[in-house]
Amino acid sequence: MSFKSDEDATTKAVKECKIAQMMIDLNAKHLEGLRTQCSMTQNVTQQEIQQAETKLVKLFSNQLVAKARLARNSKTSESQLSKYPKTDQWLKIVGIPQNSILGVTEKGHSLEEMIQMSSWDIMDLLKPYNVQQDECVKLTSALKNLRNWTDKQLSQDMKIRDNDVDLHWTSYKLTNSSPYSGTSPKMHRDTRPSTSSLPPDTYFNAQHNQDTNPTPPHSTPASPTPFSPSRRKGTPPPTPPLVRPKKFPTTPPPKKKMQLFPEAYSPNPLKKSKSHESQLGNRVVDTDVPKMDKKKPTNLNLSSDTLFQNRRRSAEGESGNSRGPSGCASPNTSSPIRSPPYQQPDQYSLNDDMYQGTKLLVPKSPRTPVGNRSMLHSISHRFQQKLVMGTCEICNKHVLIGKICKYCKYKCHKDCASKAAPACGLPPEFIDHFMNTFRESPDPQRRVGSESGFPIITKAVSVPAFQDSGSTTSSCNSSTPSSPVFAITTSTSATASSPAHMSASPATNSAQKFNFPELGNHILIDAHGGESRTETLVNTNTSNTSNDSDKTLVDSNNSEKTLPDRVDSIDSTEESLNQSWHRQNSISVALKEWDIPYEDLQFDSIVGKGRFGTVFKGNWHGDVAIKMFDIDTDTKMEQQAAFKMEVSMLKKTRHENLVLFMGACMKTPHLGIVTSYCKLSTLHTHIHQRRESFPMNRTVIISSQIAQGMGYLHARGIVHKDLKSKNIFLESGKVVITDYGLFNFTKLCHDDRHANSLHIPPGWLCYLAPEIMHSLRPGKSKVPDEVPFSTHSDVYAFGTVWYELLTGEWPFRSLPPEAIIWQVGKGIKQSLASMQASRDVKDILMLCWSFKPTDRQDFVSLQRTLERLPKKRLARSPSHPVHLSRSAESVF
Amino acid sequence: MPKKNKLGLTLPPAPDTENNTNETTSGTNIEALQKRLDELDIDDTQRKRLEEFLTKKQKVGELNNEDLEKKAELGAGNGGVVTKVSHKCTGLIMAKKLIHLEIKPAVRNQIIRELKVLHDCNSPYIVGYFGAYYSDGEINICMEYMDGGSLDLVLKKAGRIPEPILGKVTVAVLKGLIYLRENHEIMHRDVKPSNILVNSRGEIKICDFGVSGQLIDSMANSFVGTRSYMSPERLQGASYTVQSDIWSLGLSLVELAIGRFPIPPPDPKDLAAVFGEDAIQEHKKAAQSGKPLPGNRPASFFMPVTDGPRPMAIFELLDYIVNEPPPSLPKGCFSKEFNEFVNECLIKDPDKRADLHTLMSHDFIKKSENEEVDIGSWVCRVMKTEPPLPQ
Repeated sequence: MSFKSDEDATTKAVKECKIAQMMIDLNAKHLEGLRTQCSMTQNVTQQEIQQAETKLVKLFSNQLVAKARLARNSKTSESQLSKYPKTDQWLKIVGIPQNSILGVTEKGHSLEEMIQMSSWDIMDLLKPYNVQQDECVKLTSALKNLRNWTDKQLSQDMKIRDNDVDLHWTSYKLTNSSPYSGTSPKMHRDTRPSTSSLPPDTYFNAQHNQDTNPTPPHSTPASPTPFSPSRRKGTPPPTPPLVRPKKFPTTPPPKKKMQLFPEAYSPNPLKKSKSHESQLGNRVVDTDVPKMDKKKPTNLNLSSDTLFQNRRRSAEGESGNSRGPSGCASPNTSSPIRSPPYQQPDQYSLNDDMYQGTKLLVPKSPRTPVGNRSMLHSISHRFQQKLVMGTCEICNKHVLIGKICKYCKYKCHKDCASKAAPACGLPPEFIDHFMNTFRESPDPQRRVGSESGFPIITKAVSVPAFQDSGSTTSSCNSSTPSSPVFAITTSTSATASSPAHMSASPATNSAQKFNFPELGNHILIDAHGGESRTETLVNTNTSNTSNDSDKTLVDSNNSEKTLPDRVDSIDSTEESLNQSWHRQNSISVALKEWDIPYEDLQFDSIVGKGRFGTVFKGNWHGDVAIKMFDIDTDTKMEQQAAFKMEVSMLKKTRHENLVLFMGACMKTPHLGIVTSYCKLSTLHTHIHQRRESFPMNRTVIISSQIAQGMGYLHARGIVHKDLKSKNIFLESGKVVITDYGLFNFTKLCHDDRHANSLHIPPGWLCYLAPEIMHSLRPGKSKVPDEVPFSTHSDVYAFGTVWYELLTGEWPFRSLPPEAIIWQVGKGIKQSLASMQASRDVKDILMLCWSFKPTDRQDFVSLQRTLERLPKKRLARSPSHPVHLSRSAESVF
Repeated sequence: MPKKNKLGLTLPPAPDTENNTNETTSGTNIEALQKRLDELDIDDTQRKRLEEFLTKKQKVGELNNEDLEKKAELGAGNGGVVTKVSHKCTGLIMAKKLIHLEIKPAVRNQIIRELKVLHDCNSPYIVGYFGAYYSDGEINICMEYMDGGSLDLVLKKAGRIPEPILGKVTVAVLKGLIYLRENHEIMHRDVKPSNILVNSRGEIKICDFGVSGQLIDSMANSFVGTRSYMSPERLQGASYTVQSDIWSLGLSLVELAIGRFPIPPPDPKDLAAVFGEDAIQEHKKAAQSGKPLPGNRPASFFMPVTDGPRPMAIFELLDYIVNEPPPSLPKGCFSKEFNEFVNECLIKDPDKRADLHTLMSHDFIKKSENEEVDIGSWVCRVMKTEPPLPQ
């Protein structure tokens, strides 16, 4: 090999690695987002996570391949390459806790070494760092995928373009779900109960209690059918239906990674796991379990298949539904914790194994924790970035905008978040329960085996009577649209739903595990009829068996089959409730909810073309504006991901002065955003085309509305990035701001013919703040966030709009772009000498146009300043209090 | 009305005289034209060629999309794509520039009207103009096709352009600028290598000058790249003067001479690697042979200009132009005259910068005018590897 070609090859390899690294960073961020911000139970999310994992494996593999090829072809070893692939990043992506990553990397194991290791080696490697079993498994399988893919690529010596290969390591047990278990995707939402909602486990159990539920969404094959605790007493007296059979909101199907609850068999159960999202799911579960034990000893029994069936039959005979304990756990009860998705597939399988010997093959409830786990919770914080207002719990300094954990309200700076204690502090009630449970059941294992153990389903916190759930509002958040009837028989008490019942539960119940004792006569009541019950029952059984091997939990499709006829009005309300919860909670849910099929859109006419694509006037339940984005085929996936992020931001906006976001088309190649259609003209049209000039009071009103809308956007953490008069509509005196937040996605469009230059659309430059001018670069910017848009840059742009309103012109109008870039970049401002305006008015301009971003006023104070401006002939309507008092007086 | 003035040959100095719109090119018109040609300081060949062009132009008549057949894409300028087209009736080859404009008819008509000045710009140093029309949201401007392409393309092929060639280029550009200024009171406003065209006959012409204010205003999109030929005073907001064209000329000459946009200045080590010992002899030889000038140009030499990993931010580049010393030619690699000439052009203060006439009498110009260089064959040799792709 000549030196030259060596060098070429090296450069090429380095370049490949660099590119792959960039992509890895991007995808890792995306994956992180998916894991921490999305509902894990959503099909969409799961698929996306798996896709992201697959992609990451490929990317890492690309680096390995590049290195390997280089090593094979040339003798030179390239130091630049040694940093690729990044082992720590790999571990982080797989989900290994940070402290373990440090340990592993300190030992100097490179990724190349690790792929060659056997799974035992890996376990040995990780053992010292208290890495849990599931993580080992994940890492092993991820490494295996990586190795396979790399080998494949190397052996073929060409790029394999096989998009169908699945290389993810997180599995969701979607594949072999029992017919019984399948839930519609919607149902999965329930897994994210709102804060006020009942802990999910309760629901879950509740559902199982009612065998009659044809298809509990979450009932995985492995999920135990909880029966009411009558068994203890022998044959339970047929309990009359407490009220009428309630529809119990279906709990979301447990779609979790199989690695959850690895502690089940891991030696060190009490480890706190780091914050990868699989753990998030555990929170609720862990906490719930102890409570359940304590409070509801009597509630649910798990029966073996046969028993179960018998029981059903008997139940069919019975009329009325007895409230199971689950009934007690009405959805209304506000659980302190937001329930995370709570499935732990592993556990199920574990349980299955355990119970095999004891003939307890009954579907086990996914919720049942394994005994030794009772005390731990490995719940990572669920940080949200927002306006916090408080003190950082890490550095004790004041926080304004930072991160806050949704569950424990732990606050800290964004930068401090990494230093936060790994586990989420549980609300006190949960801790109490933990403690109690622990005391009461010192030997969980024994209990598991003991007949006396009953699966406990209720949650301590959830007290509300089940009866209430009849009302739609009271229904638990977790209710899926087609929630199965909830019927539980309790032998112990007819009114299982009463909170007292729960408390009465003996401590004797095995805390951590469901027992599957023989069932006595349980009375099962199915409001909807016995036929369906039997059917479901059978399904459960089958699924159960199948699941033992593969641990699949739920297949949403399957569940749908059984469900449709059960949907009723209650369900639908519940569904809508769910939607709102999800809106807050998860990107994927949002995506789903906001997705508008491309086919449903009717395109009327082209309204305009922007640098991002085309704007149509269209029809979708009325007039809408549709912005379709041009997709760059090279970066399709990235664009799509970026687009989804944007959409998830847009959905949060509800303000009078912001255009109504209605939905989006989210399937490539049709990426588009649907908003309400602004019939009237833009400020740009008014000012620059019609050359209208506004009287001062109008100017102030318009600009203060803009400031209001912008202040709202900023409070929601959204930077507009493209505020300009063209994006501001005037509708009968009301300001409507559009196109916010889209700039990230559209970025700066580059024409291929002008690969080495920056495209500057007309009337754009004068809105750009100095710091943005500084960052403008010719050529394609590979890093999306390169341009430092901020709330401050939005304020600068607002200043320009203010100038336009006042003068009817753009600043720097006659200057060529280069001159504008240089002058603004230098801090030169448009001269206001010729401007006819008061000092106050000009001061606002200067404040907005401050060179230093932080010197610019924020919109809240800007608005105040604007309000204070003298307005000529301004007719002010009296404020509410005046009105009220007057009318009150007149009444008297 | 505007359409009647197909030929536009007979326009009196004022562009808006529409009374001369008769389609027949009357003898008087040609005579008038010849008179004006006489006034120009041109030699017989140049005159013959001009007359030849005008004759062809008469045959072409009114232009429209149907008559033009697209041959090839020549390149993209600021705001427009340039294609090589052939006129179906006459077989004439032209370069057609398409400028996409979403404008009102009134504005569009004004642009077409303003462009008519181009009919009047008949000079050996100005690219000939066939006509302009509007179609489907695009302004079409048809110009003389220059088979050598623009100097930025030539530069890519040649690596560096030998000084004798640059001397001829300088003369042509200066004369072109003087012609525009004295006969039409037009400033170029955009002198740069890509606006200087050459052909195999050895002609050097300038194009794309700011003839239509309305067109400049209406140009929706602009592109700012890794090079800016804008003068420091213009960046600072001063209004445009001819002096700014001179700065741009100086900067272009340095770029063509060293083979890279001179801002930020190249590393002296890199320059040393580029330029050999006996630079001037090399230039003579290269100008005759059409072979590239010798010298290894390390990758770092090009970094700031070409697609390196991270080009200089636009603001940095502009700030360099305004606040740093102006670029100059590397010492000892070019003739003293050329060095001085460039330095005269690149004085940052526009008032101290040499003006067109001072420059015309500069030694470098005198020397270059007298030099015997066959530009045509040089262009052919340089560009021969591929069919010429002029812009």
